[in-house]
Amino acid sequence: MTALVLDTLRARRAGIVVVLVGLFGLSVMYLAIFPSLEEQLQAFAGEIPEAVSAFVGDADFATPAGYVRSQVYALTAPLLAAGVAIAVANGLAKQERTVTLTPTYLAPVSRAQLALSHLAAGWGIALAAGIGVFAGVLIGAPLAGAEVRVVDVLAATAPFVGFAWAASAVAWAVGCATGSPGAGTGAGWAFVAVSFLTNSIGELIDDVGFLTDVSPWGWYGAGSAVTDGFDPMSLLLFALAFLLVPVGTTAFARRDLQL
Amino acid sequence: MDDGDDRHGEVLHLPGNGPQDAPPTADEEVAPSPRRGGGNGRKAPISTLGLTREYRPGVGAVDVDLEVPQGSIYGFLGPNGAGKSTTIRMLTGMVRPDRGTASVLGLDPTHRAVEIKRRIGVVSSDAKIPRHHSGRSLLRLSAKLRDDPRVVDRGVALAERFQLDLDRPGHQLSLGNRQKISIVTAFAHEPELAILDEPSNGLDPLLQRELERLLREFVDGGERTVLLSSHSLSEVERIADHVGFIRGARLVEQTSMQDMVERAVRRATFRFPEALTEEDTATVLELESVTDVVVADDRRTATVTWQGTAASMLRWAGLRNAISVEARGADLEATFLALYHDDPEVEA
Repeated sequence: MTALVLDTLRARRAGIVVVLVGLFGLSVMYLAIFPSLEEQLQAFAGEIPEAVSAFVGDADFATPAGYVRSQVYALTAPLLAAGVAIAVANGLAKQERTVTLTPTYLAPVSRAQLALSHLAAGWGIALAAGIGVFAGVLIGAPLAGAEVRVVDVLAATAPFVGFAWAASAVAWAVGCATGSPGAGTGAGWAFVAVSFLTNSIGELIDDVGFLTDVSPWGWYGAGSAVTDGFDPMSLLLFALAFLLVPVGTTAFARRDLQL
Repeated sequence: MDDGDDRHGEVLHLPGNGPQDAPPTADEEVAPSPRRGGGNGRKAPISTLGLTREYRPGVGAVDVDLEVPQGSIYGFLGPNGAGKSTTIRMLTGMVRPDRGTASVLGLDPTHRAVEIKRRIGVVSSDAKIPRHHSGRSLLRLSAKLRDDPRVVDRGVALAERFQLDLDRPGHQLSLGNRQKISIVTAFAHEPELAILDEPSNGLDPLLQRELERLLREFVDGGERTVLLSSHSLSEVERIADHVGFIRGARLVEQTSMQDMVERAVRRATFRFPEALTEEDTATVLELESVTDVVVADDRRTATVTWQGTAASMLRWAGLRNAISVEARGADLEATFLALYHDDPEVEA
């Protein structure tokens, strides 16, 4: 199993390095420029419509800590992390479609091991993204004048990883069940988009406020832990991700392979 | 997860097999029937009974009763789309049968695929190599997954034999080189059974001969077995001990190569001192073994095609004072075509 996971990660080693370094650099860069933007942001913060605020994590981005939330955790980084994790986890279906799965299938490994190795690689790259963001925020926050505790950054980054794990697990499970890389990728991105939209709408319209409670993006909290502390709801992301593990492995074990 | 699960029996039992075919326990093995094992009292490495996976009527594999004797090279012949690959996919656990039973090295390929894959080598007809792999890295991965570091050294030796550059990345490889990698990785762990689906695809004639030598060496000693799927009769005729013909998803014939050669279609051209009459040609066509007569050269020569014994046909020629005869070797291709005589694809 370890050999399979390492093999899958080896195939994506360039991507892993780019994601880790890229998210680290992005986080530091965003935060480093905050002092020069602070006045403009404070002037702008009072005029920003509620709808726009909802779409940037409902954070007070004129404050250093809120800026960390809105710029790092609210949109770009989670989308990047989820996208890369979806692509890697969905590699199983892609390899099946391109018949490049055959050499590893013919080795003495079970279908479950084969499937899980791809999910583990997807989760590994999401973890690398989380490490990049975590390190970037810790180094960049002082540059922005924000006083953030390590434990709060960790509490904000864990759900960040959890969201990418859940999104990639959705893509992986659908790929496992169908053997279609397109269906897997589509399902993963649909999960991201629907989660984001339902959460944003829930925040905007009181009558459907419950949507934020059922939205995985709401569970993620978009970095709210940086200012509000750890939210146990974020554990639902990991629960969802792990719940999909038996679904995907069972589906993959029970269907014909297109090899 | 089924394929790594030892809770299941060793023979696949599916609906329709009847109460006498209740699933065996995990410790039970396939009970060899008297006819199984090629008559040498040993269990057949591959045997199937009523094995079926039908995608649509006539497409897939239907009621396949395959019997591959131990220590043999079994030529699994059939035109494209006849059901060879579907059968092999069921034997390697890629595809689940609709019904029937299959046994590979005494194990059910649907539920014991991991154990089977540890003991067999497979060349897939159209396997591709992942972009991030070369032949050498695939061998290393195989060595790790099989927990056998000797796989790499054996693979390197095989690669030299097949003139394969092990260091070229997968996406730069031609069909022939991909096929060589498949062959090398299939044999590098010294399997007990090799299942080869069109293995000579893309190989030049010299390497095809090298593959044939490898297969012969592999079965020498009588312990190891090869199932060789091919649509090339000449390839199978040269090296196989047994042969099975699949057509329209059904196994229509299964016999020893010796029996096949004895039943083979043969041709001979006779030259006569006088022109043959209509009655002469009608007489020879009435002989049971004769299937065709073509007269030429002012009806002084006749090319006769027959199956089985030549005695009656030779008597016919002798009674007409045949001057000379030019006989050809057994024409397995014609035999094959005779079996497939109403298959439009083959006729085309």
